[in-house]
Amino acid sequence: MEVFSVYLQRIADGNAVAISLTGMIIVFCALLFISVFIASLPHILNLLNLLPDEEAVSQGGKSGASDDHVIAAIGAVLRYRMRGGK
Amino acid sequence: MGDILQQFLETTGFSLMTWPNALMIVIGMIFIALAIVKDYEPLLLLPIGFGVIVGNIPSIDSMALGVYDDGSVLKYIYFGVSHGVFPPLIFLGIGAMTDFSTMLSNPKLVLLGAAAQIGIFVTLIGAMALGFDPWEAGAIGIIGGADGPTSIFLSSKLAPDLLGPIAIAAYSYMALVPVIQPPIMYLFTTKKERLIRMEPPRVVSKREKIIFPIAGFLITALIVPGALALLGMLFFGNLLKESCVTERLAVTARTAMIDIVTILLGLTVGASTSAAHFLTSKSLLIFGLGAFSFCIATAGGVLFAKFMNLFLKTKINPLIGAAGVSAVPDSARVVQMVGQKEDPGNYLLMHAMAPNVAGVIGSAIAAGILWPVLSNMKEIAEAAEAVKVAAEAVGL
Repeated sequence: MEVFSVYLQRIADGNAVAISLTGMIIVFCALLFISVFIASLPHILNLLNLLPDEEAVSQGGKSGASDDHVIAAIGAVLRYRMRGGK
Repeated sequence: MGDILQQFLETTGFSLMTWPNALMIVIGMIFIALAIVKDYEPLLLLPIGFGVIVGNIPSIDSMALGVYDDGSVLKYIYFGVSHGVFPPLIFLGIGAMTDFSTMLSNPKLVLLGAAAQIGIFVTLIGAMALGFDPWEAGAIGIIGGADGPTSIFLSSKLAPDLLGPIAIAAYSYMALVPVIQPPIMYLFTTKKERLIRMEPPRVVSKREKIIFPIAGFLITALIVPGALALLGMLFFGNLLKESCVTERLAVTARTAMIDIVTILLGLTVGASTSAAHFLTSKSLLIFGLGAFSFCIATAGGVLFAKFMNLFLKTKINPLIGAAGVSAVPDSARVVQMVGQKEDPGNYLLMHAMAPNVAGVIGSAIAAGILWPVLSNMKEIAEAAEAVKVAAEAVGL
């Protein structure tokens, strides 16, 4: 019993419980802030119109296909002209 | 000639060897065996194990050989440990190899990384109860963060005398994650909970990945400036990786640089465990408290996951709470292993990486909180002691 009271006295003298509680609260707050920020980041980016627009990206991808069409058309015209002798 | 030979023989390690030194050399060999045979964190245990052997070869007093001898080569290398230079460099490498995607896709899991830090603060109370000074208790408690570099960083600032035992305890328990964590995970979860499957994470955009290290650093460094060195390097390393414009720097940070620092750190931490400094009752207490801290941290993460499930519509598997201790990626692998024992089709690894990397941030934040508070207490105590000594000297 006496040993136990010595332990408690040391904890009280060092302010251990207060340090621990404060530390734990700060760790939670800091990570909670990060969590909230991460959760709101996509919405913030959407609001700022910075998030890559999937449609735009996919349309951008199609532009390669339309280039192919243009090249094919130029090729067809050249072939037509060569055939026609003009 | 006979005298010279006699003198030489008296200076050999054989004649100067003591039983404590021999015991430490055996411990070093056990570390090496664990690394090679059991594959327990070989990148850490092998250099540390060899360092333990190096540090316990008896040397002559007049020669500067060990990490504590002024002018020795090992002391110059040990400077990086004793002054907290190596830990931030390791964090740079960790940042450059960490993918925060799983954390960004499921932000609520970040809280598990906070919950697991309870091991640090409970152990701080326990260490003070056992008679350690508050600053020593803080350095011991950080072992529960399961983060070797953070433990070294904080103990170099708060309790340099205990750096050797604390570093060895931290790295030993990190290597023993697959042994320590599963029993606690089974103890605090039901079979039904272990079978919970989690929804696949959403795809995270590149912009989110680039913005996060900058914003994450600002949030944490402004709240806890004491964690600036560790978290600054962690987030900087991650920005190097995610920006895609500094690929060479990112590759160097996560390969050559972190490897070099790990070699120097592991060897000199091991070499700092000379029997005279290491085999003390305090070291035994530190090992005991470290194990306690690790267990509390694991239990804290698991129980907090269960607590979160009380409020969540889509339940999370509480096993992933155990990954809140920041032993990256070992504790996440343990979660995967335990989860797959119950259900081989349940893949928890990527989910467990979220609390795992949050745990790295959490333990660095905890170190950043304890450093200024406890070093302030240390300064006050030292000043009071100086006043007391001066008063006694003048006969007051």
